[in-house]
Amino acid sequence: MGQYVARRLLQAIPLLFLISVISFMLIRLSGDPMSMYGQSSALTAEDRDRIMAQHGWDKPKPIQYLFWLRDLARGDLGSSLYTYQPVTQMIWEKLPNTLILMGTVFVVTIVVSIPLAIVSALRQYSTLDYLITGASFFAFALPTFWLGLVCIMIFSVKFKEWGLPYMPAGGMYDLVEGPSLPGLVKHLVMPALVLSVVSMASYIRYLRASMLEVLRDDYIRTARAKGLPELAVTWRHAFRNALIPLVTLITMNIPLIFSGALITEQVFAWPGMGRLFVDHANRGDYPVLMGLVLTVSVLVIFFNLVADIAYAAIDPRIRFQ
Amino acid sequence: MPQSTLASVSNSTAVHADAPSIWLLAWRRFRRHKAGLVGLVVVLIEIAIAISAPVLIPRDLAIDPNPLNILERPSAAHWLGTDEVGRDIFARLIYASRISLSIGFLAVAMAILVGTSVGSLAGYFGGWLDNVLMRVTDAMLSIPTLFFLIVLSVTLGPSVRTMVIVIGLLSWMELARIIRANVLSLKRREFVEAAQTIGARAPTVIMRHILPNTLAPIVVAATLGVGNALLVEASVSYLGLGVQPPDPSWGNMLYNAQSYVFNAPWITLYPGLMILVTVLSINFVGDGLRDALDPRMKDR
Repeated sequence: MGQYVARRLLQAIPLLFLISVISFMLIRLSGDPMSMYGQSSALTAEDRDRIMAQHGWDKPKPIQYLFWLRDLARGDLGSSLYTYQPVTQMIWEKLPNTLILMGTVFVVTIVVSIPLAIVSALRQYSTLDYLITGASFFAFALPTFWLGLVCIMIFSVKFKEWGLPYMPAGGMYDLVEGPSLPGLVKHLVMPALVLSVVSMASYIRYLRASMLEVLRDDYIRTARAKGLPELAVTWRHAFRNALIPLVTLITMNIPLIFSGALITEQVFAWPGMGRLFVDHANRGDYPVLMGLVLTVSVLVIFFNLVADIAYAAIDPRIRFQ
Repeated sequence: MPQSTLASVSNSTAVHADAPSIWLLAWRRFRRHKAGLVGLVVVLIEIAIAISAPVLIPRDLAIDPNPLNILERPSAAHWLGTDEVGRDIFARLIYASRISLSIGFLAVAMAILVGTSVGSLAGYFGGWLDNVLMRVTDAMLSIPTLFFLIVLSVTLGPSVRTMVIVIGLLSWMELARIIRANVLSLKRREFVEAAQTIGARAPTVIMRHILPNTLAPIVVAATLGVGNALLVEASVSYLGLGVQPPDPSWGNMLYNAQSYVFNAPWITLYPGLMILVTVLSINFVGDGLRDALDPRMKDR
């Protein structure tokens, strides 16, 4: 097991390196960082040269990348071109908020979609099955941000009009009450549900297919043939094997949740990394953008690693592949 | 007598030529997929409307602000109401369909180009090339692509062309993996080895012999890709970082919508419904195609 973990960790290093190169290329090769100063006449040619030299932008691009990497090794992601705050500090402030949102989404998705997928597979072609697969097909085609807007329209605006208990339309805490756990939960419900609906769709589709496949396997027939009660066949034999693709599913889904969070945070004014990103994308604030892309990628790789290791712990066959 | 034999022989070849092609067979299977068929009809109608938009409704209604009808409710004059600068929502939806659908289809065309190239090169040549290409693919798959999309869109200057390029460049990875896997298994087959033996060069073998045999998964992935590209375009344009006004897209029609959820919900409602219906239809078509082209994939 230790060997497996070590091997997976080693494999993550080139991947991280590659991601840092790709993100550096995409972000720094495509834009001119001086463009933010525009054609401002207050800047003389010397000023421009000085600013370029200050940021190291006068050096060749590969050298710039090495400098950036060196700073990164020291835990320094540079500072924002606008607020002059260190990027690490800016990200550090928003990271927990995004993790709260994503963690909730993750738990809700798993807890809701596994039972639905299993029931759907066990009662294949029943009304319930059609309802569940139909709904997940529907959810698959929903634009996340629009679902968010519609929820605000119904649960915040209309409910208030109708005198019903209504949901807050945005933010993380009540501005008057200040930070509190009930306030947080109340603000978390809508963004978390909206984001969960979309990821549930793919979980249900894959897990249902996996369960159906397992149910056709020989060992299920064997289990039935030797007279096991249906409940034992379903839970002891089929269910556990049907969950094997869950790890692949989680791995595929994590980058999608991050992308979804970016949009959802915008809709619900959730003060997380996605909102920080959109705010600074408009201004071409490269250090912040690179820092965020890298942080998000590292998190994705880290979560994947955790999922893989958990997987290997459960299913010994994986370790030897 | 010999003549009649000849006739019967030619007759039998004629019968053979008339035997249903795989595409005809696939169409027959597709026809049985009700949802797929409905989806196809919806998408075809939308395309027809998008193409004939200038004949149906004047462009000014969709583009020019009209301070006299700001935020009007849906009525006989404005079927779906007007937006915050007095443009007709129905007209905008129709003109937006031209832009949004074009982005969806062109971005996927681009993704197919990149994905097919990467997948077939990696699968056919193997070795270090395979290693490098697949590691890049893995790396791109573990990046939340929306982040890159936004950065690229901003740096290249947000526009329709940028959206096509950027969405195309960031959504080829799944396709590359599917194609690589198929090429790997196809290149060991006799007909490929036969082509190689008579001296066909790699590009010929790939283009003429391997890729035509892996068309089915490409078609399915491409169809589902269009739905996804539409959703991505909508998200980025919603953030104001995609298609720029005054040109309408289904996404950027929602850019300001949030400020008006209180008093003009129709601004939010209709573009979103349009996206939902279109993506749903395209996904149904994709699902139908999957069943029709690859019966083994059924129930997946």
